[in-house]
Amino acid sequence: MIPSPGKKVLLIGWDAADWEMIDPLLQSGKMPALAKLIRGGVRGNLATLQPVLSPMLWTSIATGKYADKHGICGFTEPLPDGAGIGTVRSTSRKCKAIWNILSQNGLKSNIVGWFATNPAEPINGVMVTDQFLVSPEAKLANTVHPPELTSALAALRVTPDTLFAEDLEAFIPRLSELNLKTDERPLRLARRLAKVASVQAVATALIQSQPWDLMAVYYDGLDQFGHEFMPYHPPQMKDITDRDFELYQHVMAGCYRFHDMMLHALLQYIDEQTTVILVSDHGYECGHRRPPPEQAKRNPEACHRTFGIACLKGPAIKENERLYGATILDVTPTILALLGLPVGGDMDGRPWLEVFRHQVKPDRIFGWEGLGDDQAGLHSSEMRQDPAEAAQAVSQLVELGYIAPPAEDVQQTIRDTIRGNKISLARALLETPRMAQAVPLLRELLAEKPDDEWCALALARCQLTLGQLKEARALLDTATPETQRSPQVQILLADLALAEGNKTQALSHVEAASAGGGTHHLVWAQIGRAFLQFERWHDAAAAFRKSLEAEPDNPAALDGLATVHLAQGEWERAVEKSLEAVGLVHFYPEAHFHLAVGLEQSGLVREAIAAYETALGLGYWPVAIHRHLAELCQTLDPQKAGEHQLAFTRLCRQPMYRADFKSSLATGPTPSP
Amino acid sequence: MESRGGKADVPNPRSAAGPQCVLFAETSNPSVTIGVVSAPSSLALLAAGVAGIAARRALRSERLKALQSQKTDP
Repeated sequence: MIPSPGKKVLLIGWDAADWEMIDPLLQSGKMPALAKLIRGGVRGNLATLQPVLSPMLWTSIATGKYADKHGICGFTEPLPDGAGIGTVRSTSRKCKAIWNILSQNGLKSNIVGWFATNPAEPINGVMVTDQFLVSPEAKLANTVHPPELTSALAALRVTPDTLFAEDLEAFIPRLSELNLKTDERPLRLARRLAKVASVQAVATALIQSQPWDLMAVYYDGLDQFGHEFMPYHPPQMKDITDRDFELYQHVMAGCYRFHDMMLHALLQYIDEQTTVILVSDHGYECGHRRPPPEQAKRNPEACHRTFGIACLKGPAIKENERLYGATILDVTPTILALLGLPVGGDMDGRPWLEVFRHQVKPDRIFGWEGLGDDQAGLHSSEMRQDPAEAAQAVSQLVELGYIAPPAEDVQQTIRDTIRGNKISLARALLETPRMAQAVPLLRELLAEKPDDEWCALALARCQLTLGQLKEARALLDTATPETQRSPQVQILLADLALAEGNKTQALSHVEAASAGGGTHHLVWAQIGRAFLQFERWHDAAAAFRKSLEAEPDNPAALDGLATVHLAQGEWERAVEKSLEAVGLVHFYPEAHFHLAVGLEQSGLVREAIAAYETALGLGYWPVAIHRHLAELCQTLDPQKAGEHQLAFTRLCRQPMYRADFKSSLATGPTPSP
Repeated sequence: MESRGGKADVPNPRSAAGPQCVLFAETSNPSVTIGVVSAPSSLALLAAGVAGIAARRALRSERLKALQSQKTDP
């Protein structure tokens, strides 16, 4: 273990926190605790993952891995006894979380309210599960470790009936005008406020009474309040009545300010040696891009934004700086680096070393799985099981007559839940370099339900990417005419036609997509990319600009514009757009490559070398990059130039493969299953 | 604003099957400004977590007593 740059870490999770809500409040001095944190530390955007489902995301935050590696694929899963479904359990997680890794290294963790932590794992420290906060007194068994703390912590839980009118009036100033018998919104606000307050009570109790090296606290309030009250936030939405707007417009700002008050209180308990990391799993639409309320109710995920927040402050962290290109996968690697522990090579994220004051080179190991498991505070191997496999095992017992079958509607619910989680897993795999693993899963899903168009289109996209053109064509031919006319499918057909060598047909599909472009930013980015392939620079730029209008934090569109600028010899503009793109997402090899080309053409040699090296490190187009680096390094570092020339020569002798890293941000929007 | 009619008992919300009652004090502060809570308001005590619990319980107890005495006084 290398000396740890930081002594302790306080990790705070604010589900759905978004800079677009926070920045106006910071500017008007209404979130002073967060303002102080930012001033003395670092802030940045934090890219989420698909699908934007909180149990999956918070588990990715806690493990540093995509969902195919951690196994948490939804809000619910079949119960182990086959009696129905329940909230997703810690026994379903397939890999270690940060608290397990710390446990086996003799470090203590206090974890409060984290998603998918029930039943409580026997970690070194305290685990208060997500279910502790919502379970009745009689059902608190296994929600806390060590169990002897259960009663004392239960007494701290806040219930809605203990709130005062003025507590709610801070959110709804005209509360007295409401008829609480007919308007349930204040009661729902009270319930959510009580839950958040319970988290705060438990967290503040533990932070001062139970020793810790990592304290991790999860608050779901901003997301829960958002799903209920964001439609009333200014500016007034079309479907919101004037009266409702007047009554409820202050709720969201009040919620953020309350979170700032809680942050202030929590920070009173830490010392200067503690690093504070504040993150959210995704952002939340709060302006003109909010979906209409009815659409938001049907599809809550449509309210989520690609970028959440990250903010760090601590003795090892730079001050007043920006963090660029961060994703939720990076949090665990960063905590490990801060605590002087090796980062697992099987983790999908990276530590944010660029914001450390002093250069830190964390050790790396192949992975933490299978090492020191007996000290890691894991559940026993008998307890840990894949819920779908457990459900299958129960089904077999039913078939054999050992147990009675659950009611038909329960069985259907179980089947639907398993299917929903498999679809979430497929969506997650499409984001990773392991896209090929989604193919058998999608085939299985399609075989179960042949009319599932999302599965068919996702499978067609995978097959196209993997060069299975006939299979992709066969699938797309089965889509309904209406589906085929959608811009997203037209782009898919264009890509397929291009792969088949039929440029004329491909172009007609692109033009059809452009004509029916709709409003989704990802679709416009796809249309832009398609025009790029035909060197229709003007049309491509127009499509990318439409994409940016719909979503300004848009790496795909920014990189697309950079490509247009490169094609037109506008080097500085290309560099500007590429920098914005990689500033949003680090793992974006094409954008780093485009940045490098722009820098090279602008004569910024050292910067170009750094950008090419980043793209190379991300696995992009090695043969081209080695050639560029061989030329650029000639005068600055002839030895390095020679190495690159050698690598280029070796690669030229092999069959050429273009690195198959497609940014998932360039793929289309995924309809809800 | 509503208050629970005449009784000192506060229902245990954990056992309530239906919508939970929210206890409103009869005398609320009409001049609460959004989010600007000067300590030690009840919301600030709520945000304080465990440190505010005792004070909030004391406040609640005071208000319940005040409610009861208002009902019994002529």
